[in-house]
Amino acid sequence: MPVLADFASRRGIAFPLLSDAGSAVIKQYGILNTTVAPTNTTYGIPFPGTFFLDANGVVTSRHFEAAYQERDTIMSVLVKRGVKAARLATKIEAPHLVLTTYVTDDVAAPGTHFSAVVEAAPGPHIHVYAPGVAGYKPIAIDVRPQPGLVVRSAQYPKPEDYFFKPLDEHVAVYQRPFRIVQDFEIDPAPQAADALKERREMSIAGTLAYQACDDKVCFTPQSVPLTWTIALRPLDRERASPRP
Amino acid sequence: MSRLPTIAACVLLSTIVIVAAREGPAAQSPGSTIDPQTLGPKIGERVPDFTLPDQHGTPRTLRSTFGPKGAVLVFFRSADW
Repeated sequence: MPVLADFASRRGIAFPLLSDAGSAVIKQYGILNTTVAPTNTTYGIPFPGTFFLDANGVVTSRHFEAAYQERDTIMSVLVKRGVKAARLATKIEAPHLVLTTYVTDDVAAPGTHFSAVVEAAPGPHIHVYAPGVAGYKPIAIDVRPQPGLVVRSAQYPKPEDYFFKPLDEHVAVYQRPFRIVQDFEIDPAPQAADALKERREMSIAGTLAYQACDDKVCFTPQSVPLTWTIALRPLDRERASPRP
Repeated sequence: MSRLPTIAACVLLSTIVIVAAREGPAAQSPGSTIDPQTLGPKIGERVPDFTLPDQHGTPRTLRSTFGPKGAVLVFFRSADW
């Protein structure tokens, strides 16, 4: 427990950290990482997983990751499940869309997977085009690359079908408020260490491109600048006890 | 740091590796591919309760960590390596 107490105080953790001696609960849950040989000093670790439980202890959602070194923040997982995060957001009155955007976390370290969320509310009778639509400019987030940042995938919601009678045309659109989640990672690769050295924060610049139309007029395609900022911290290399 | 009203408790399970390393049942050979998505309690299933010591040395049942709407249960590696 001194190890957990030390870790919790170093990282300002107030929620319970539970010590699973002998990996008893990990085994009871059936998630012991069996790709680690019993002779390995890291034997006993679980597969990196998160369970969302309701008040009865029933799993409502679960999330397993490829490796414990690179994990999604809880907020990044939750926003992709539709949870509205109570984050400080920037509101942008863009043409035909009201945009609200925020990052899921205050701080990230190399290997942290976090997200930028863009909530978009189309104006009255306005629709914008979903990814993959041809003939109109589909909505897309474009992020300016920079060293130390891995731009991961973006999640767009399921579009609605829009029937445009004059052209007898069905198109995939968004016409109700919708959410795009763009995933990022602070690059954990050794080559990125120089780019991240001494940096306290990262500004991420991007654009949201889209075309808005109503039932009569299609407006000029837009490209709205977006910026997000996240504080950076180095990997925690402190230990509660000296190395053996 | 914002907290969601829907999430009242976060639990992090940490293995004590030295203890775990003394155990010896055969594991699958390293490098074999296992899909963790198929492991552990599934959506709709109730997870087993347990009692484990927290960072203050206080025994905690899983249930004791719950807020009004449940909990987020995170499995993590050791906090000491």
